[in-house]
Amino acid sequence: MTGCPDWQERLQGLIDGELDAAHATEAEAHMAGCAACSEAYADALKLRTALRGEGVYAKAPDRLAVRLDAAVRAASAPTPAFARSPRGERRPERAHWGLSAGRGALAGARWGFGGAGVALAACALLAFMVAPMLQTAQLEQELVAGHVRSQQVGHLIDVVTSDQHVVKPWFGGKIDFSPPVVDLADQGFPIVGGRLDYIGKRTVAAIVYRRGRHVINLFVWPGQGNLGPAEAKPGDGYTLLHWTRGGMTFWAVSDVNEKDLRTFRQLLQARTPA
Amino acid sequence: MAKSSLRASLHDVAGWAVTEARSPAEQRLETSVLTPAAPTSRPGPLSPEQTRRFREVVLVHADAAYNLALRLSRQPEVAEDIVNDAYVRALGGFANFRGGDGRSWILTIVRNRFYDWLREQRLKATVPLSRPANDADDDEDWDFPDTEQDDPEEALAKKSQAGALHALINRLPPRLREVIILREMEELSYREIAAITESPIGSVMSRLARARGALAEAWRAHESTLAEARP
Repeated sequence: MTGCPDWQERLQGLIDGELDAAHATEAEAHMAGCAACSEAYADALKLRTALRGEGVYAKAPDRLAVRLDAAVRAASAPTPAFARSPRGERRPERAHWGLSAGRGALAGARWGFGGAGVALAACALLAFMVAPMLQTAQLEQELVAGHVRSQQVGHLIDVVTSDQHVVKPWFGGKIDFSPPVVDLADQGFPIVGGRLDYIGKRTVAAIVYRRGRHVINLFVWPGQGNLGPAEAKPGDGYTLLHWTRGGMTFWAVSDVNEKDLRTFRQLLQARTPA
Repeated sequence: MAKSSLRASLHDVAGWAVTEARSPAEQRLETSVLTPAAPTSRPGPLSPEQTRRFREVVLVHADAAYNLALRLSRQPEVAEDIVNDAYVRALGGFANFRGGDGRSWILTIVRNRFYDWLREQRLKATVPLSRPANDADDDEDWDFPDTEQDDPEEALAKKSQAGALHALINRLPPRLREVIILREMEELSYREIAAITESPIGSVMSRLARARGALAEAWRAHESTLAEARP
């Protein structure tokens, strides 16, 4: 049913809210006296409801999201953070910071209490303090980037499920450690799924939770290195919390409010074996 | 109400005269700015700031790109390739992207890639492909056969509501498929649809009318079949 031929286009304008008030009124007046046009109008609205219904809009599959993400990385300049100073000089890599600091300390010990030795030792100490700070800042950037990426590509979740008993074995064959997967749905933090991510030059587990409309990425990997303060707000409205438990390092990243994220951490700590 | 006076009245709304008054050549010029050419000269890598912007402005619309590509090509694997190809081109042309709506931009590229793919299929095809008689206003409006289902009626009866709608959309010619998707699923304005499809607004409206007429009729038939099937 398409209505009167002469009114067809005007009818579309009315359905789509693209007519000005005067023409809309005219079209409505015509419809009131024309069964064919009012039927076409009602049909179009019914069709709209159906087309905007569940499952009609196709979402990009995860493997396409991964492909697109790879395409973006391939087209981007390598290692954005700390790779180059504004003047274009290459800065020493973080590994070198640790190394030169170690050399300094050794030198200091060999030269005993000489002034140069003390100065070197002081430098070494400073380097030991600065290196982890830089490392932490880099790590935080990577974590936020991982979190943002997980949302930007639509739904970068490799296993989509609300069931913790599915997420845990899914990680089984893919990484060399077994992250604790805790269900917090009863506390308003349902699991959305899990995926692998690449943070700090290693593959880590990312368990994705939801709080209302916000997404929380929980990054987990083995080890409990010194990672600086337990909380960070790198800007852009993201909060990062981290803790270690049972030999694992946990980082929670989200744009949810800080209070909720702390609750999330408490609940997880309470339910994860120490 | 005659068409011409309606068009005239539409010009008063939201400055449509701008789009309508352009010659096809001018429109092509505009879209050639929108659509990056094949990457003959390889652009340099994006800066971290450009990468961040690309993710925020263009990559977020991957679902929209895929939805359009899938409804146009009707084949998931082809749709993925079209979207991937479109994004690679978008990345190559991002340095020239002057801002504006990233979704319209990527949808334009996806659509162009789809018609490129369709043309390649036509060249490869040994059997002449169907050309719907009811949409003769465009040379490109022939279509590759819908491979998704061999027996549409049977498939239709079995499928979910969403599946049934997909099957109905699949039967429309591509020029009608694209306007209905851009309008009802992307909720774009006539003006935006006109820019993406490189068509005058009047054509967008008449195609919408035809698409809606055909779909509503098929949808009604589908529902009555379902009603009869119920005990």
